[in-house]
Amino acid sequence: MKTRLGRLGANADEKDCQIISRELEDIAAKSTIPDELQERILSSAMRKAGVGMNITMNNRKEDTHNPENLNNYDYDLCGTVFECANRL
Amino acid sequence: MNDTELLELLESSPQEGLAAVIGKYSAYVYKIVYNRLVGVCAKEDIEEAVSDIFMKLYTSVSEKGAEPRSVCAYLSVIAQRHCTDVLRRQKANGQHISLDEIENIIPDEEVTADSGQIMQALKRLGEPDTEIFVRRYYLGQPVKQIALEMNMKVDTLNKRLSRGLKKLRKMLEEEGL
Repeated sequence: MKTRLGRLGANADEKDCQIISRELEDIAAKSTIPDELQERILSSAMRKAGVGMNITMNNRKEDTHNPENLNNYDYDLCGTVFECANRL
Repeated sequence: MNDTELLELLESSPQEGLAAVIGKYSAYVYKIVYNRLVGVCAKEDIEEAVSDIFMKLYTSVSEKGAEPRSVCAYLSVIAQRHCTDVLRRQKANGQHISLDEIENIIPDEEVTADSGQIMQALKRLGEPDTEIFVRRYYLGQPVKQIALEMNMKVDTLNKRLSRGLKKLRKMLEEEGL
């Protein structure tokens, strides 16, 4: 039984998952990640989608040699994209 | 913003739609991917997989015209398949993968045919057991994490899982599965 259940992830299709969509939506609503992780995901996906490549670095003028700023490597796109997301 | 509005935005303004979908579902997709790939992939690769999954949704809806009824359910399918592909690639490259993971990525036609019926049986368990089973077996969350997020004791959760498994087995046997 556990094996059959464990394989649901690899085997279930959209129609199957529709059956548990309410539970999935509840789980999604309760899920959280840190803002900076979400920003990195957004930035990465936008870059892959070819979005924001014309946006110049206008909101990050930090010293990139400062170790405290090393996690900000992707923020050149995020400011504008997040402003866009927040308006929605 | 509900799923219908998200889909309309993805079609009318794909970039804004993608940003909105990521704003709403990035934590959820991260949870799915993390549970499947932790211990196999580096943190950076997990993040990369999450953004790849949103790209697949973006391409599927804005370019290929897919019309999912539930973005949440659709994303879970994309995420699960993407993780399965990653695990298969890792295995092909000779990386160590646990026996549980190998078992879960082996194609199984019988199980594929049964997936809908198993989901229906899970649904019939009723709350909170349906959510517990979805988290444990569909999303692959560890018991301790489920207990924490559902504000339950680990012992209570384990008892519910044990009783639920018996109920499920009985339900599926009655249906000849």
